[in-house]
Amino acid sequence: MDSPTPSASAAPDAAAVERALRLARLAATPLEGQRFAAEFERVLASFSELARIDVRGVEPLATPSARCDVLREDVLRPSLEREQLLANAPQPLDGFFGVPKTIGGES
Amino acid sequence: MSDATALERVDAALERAARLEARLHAFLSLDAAGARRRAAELDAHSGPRGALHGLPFAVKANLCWSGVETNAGSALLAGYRAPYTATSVQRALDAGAVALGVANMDEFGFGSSGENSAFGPSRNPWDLARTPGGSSSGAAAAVAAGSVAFALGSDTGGSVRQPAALCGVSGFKPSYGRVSRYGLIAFASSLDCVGVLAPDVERVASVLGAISGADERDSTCLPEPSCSAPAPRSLQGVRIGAPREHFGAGVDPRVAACVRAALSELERLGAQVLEIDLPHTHAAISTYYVVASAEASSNLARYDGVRYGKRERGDGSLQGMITATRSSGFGAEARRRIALGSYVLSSGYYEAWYVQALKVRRLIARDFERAFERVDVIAGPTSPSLAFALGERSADPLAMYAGDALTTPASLAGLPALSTPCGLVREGDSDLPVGLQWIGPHGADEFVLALGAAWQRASAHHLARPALAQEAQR
Amino acid sequence: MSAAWQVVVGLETHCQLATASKLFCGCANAFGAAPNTLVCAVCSGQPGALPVLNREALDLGLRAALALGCNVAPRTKFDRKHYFYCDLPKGYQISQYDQPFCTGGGIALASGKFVRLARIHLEEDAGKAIHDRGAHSLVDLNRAGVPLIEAVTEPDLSSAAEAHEYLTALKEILQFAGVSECDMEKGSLRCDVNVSVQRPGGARGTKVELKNLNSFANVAAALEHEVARQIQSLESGGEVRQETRLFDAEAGVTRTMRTKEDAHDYRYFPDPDLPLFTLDEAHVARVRSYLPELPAARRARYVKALGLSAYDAGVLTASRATSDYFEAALRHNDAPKELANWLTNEVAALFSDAASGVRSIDELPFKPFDFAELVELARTGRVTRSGARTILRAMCAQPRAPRELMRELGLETVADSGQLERWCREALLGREKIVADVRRGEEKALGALIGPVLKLSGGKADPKAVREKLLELIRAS
Repeated sequence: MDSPTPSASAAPDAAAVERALRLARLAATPLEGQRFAAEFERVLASFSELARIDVRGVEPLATPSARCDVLREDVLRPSLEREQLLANAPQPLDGFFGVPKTIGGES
Repeated sequence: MSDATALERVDAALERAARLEARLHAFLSLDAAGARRRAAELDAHSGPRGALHGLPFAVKANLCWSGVETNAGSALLAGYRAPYTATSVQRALDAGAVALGVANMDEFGFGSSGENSAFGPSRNPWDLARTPGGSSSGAAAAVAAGSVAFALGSDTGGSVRQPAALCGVSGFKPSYGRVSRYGLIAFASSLDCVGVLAPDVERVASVLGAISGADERDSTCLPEPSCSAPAPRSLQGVRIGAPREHFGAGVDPRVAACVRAALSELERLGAQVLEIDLPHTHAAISTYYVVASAEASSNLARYDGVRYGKRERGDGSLQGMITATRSSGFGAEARRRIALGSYVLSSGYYEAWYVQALKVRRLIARDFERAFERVDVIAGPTSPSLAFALGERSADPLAMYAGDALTTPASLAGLPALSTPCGLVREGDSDLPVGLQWIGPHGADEFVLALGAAWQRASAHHLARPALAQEAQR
Repeated sequence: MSAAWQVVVGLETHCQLATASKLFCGCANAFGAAPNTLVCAVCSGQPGALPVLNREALDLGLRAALALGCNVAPRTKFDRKHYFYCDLPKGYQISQYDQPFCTGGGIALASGKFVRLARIHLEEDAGKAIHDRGAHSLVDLNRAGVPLIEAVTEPDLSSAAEAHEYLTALKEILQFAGVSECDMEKGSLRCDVNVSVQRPGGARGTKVELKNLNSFANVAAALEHEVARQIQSLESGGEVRQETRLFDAEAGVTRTMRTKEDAHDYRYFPDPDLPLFTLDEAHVARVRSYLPELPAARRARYVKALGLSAYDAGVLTASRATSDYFEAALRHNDAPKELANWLTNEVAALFSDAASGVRSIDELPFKPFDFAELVELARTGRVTRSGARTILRAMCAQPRAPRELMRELGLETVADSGQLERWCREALLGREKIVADVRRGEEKALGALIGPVLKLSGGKADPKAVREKLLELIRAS
């Protein structure tokens, strides 16, 4: 059987692992990083059996939920009290969530 | 015990829970004052009694409970007090149950031993050197020790059923969507189910009756009314499918033998046991870990140190703060799963990993659909092994993941699944429980519970209690 | 130099939908509240909270799709778009990736060019981060979860002027359809631009994205600058980098924000918390039946059926409120030209005059009925134009019937022919030259006499009547 997804069986390259960590905003010390990467590769390698399963003509199953068209009416519900919202905040500031100074724009 | 007031029951439960806590570490916190106040209110109230009147229960630490520390076993959420209460918890309270405390768990549900709790592992009441299973570790330990009448847990890939099996109690994962997920701290949204652990199936069913049913706050919650108490039924003529793959390689022969013996008992009670095949069982762990980790990487993206939780300064920039917070706040297993999830969703890998896993997921679901054309229910071992020693697998993620081989298939397919005790195996100085897993078609929650209850009426396995529980009784 | 270059522009426009509540929770969708007071467990991304879609948001999205002639998809789903920023509470935005609720459609420009839409999708807005107060950035989540549609064009636009025209038309349509306020100042309309330049018939140029454009004028200005920058760079042998640039309105330049190397990998995947949504034909037809007449159709009708000039029709339909006001007044006074004239001149003049206390059509304190009556009084000569103008101002201060104000202010034109004659005779005294000119047939010379008569009357004489009386007296003498 032809593997429909050759890249899944290929060993993950270190750069891709590093990229996944960066995307997820996770950092590791260099030593930890090496051990982490090695273990990560071992885990991925064990999952690569998936690529060998014939899934031709099979639709993905993203959720077992068969529900559709679940909607709410456009009516207001009470918001949280601001004190309650900010009670768990690491840095409440004048009714805002304080964060390190950052110039505009995501990432 | 049934004549006791709610306050007497709650006091007894609190006393036992507190006394055993040093040995079991089942709880992250006990709300003695709140529980006693609530019990006194119930006693003072003269109106009709709720279905769970006066029953003390434990709340897994990933179910939001307003004003109480709901940390999901994570250091990152230490001190986080939820601003609202989960639908399932609220419904249990509304039915008259009394929440005793917050049960320990693997961080965000990532684990099968409780060892990934940032607050130290819980212990198995049958043998304190062993794991109670996970991730609903504290919930299972507290129920097995007799500290609570039931516990609310969550099951993403077996987190209610496996600890129920390892602790010798009954544990149920409903059909996906049968119980609202609102207020359940998300691990993998398409797999997460709120579940119930209790000493017997009848208790499980009455709790499920109270907490299930439509919820306008959860778009994936089924519109059906809450589960009704299963009518007593016999096992006569019930066709039970025993999947060959659930007794094969990787399953402890003692566990397999114990479950085979239970199936023979069921046959003697009138059931018909048929060998069936679930040919994609071997792929369940890989499928599960790809899908669940993908969703987890997304669900855990909100832990950025901005609005709640612990914050680490990092290099002083916003993104540096987020990276430092997440890197030090999450435990090793959480980081591993988030990294795996990000990897399989990232561009260039999405089709090969995530979509491929979703396709295999459908094959796994189809295996069940085909099987249910021939049988009414599927039964086999819940866990391939007995409760293992703490530390035995914690260094090897793959060994840990292997323990989920028999529970993840029903999770991937969204099916109702029940674990009931089916015997003890002697290992060393300990008797260790074995769990029998019952899997039903989607939506057949009452039917599965009715079968479990019928079996418990005709057998005594579920009455076995660890020595520790009997000692505490005295 | 730019004749040798072709400019290729595509626009991505975000519009906040005019719902009462947010997209996935019951918090108010409102601008200007105290920070973090319109926030709940869902829109602040508290652990365990779940989204449930607002029916009205989906319907307003559909309405936009129908107004823009898009093809509505039979079913649609939501996806999670991941990135980390302090104003994004869940670490992902719920958006639509590969199954937007509609595709196609577009807007015709005056030139006849059709700007095609690739798609419109629904998504939630992020919160707001404030960077210019103190040593920290501050996050307000009131806006987090507000429903947005994002309309993405094909790269069909070829100049700043076309971009401006497209945006103006888009805003008009969405406002008319009741989809969005489209107020750039309140941030309910926001626009990102993709622009490249290429030689005619040559290969596609490298695309640059422009952000931070907070007015249509800025969009046009940023485009002009960016096009010039790209052409200059290419003509001097350089190249254009694929990047995102921010427009600095004050300096009038664009600056690099991020390059392709650190482009995002958003890791989209279907949101398992939300189900599929079907948009069946019966429902789409129902939404279509609620759709009001759109600006282009209204303009055509004003010209064809009401006989207005194309210019007046354009001014009247520039906002739904003006157009609706005009139509309401028309129901009480079938004089479209006069009503249009008064609305586009005298009423419009109120808005630019601080003393009137009225800044827009929505703030007019008097009803279309009263406005229609005022115009009728002027049209029939019961009050002079300047008298009517005075009454209009008075109506802003105290919204009473114009007829009452006219009497109270003594502005009713004097219809008494004897009084009129006395004023005219007085004005004619010593004006023999003018009289002679008029007799010779130079009637325009009369103009010099009308003013003095009006002055003598204290503004109560109707200029038309004065003119007739003067002619009568001159011819009779």
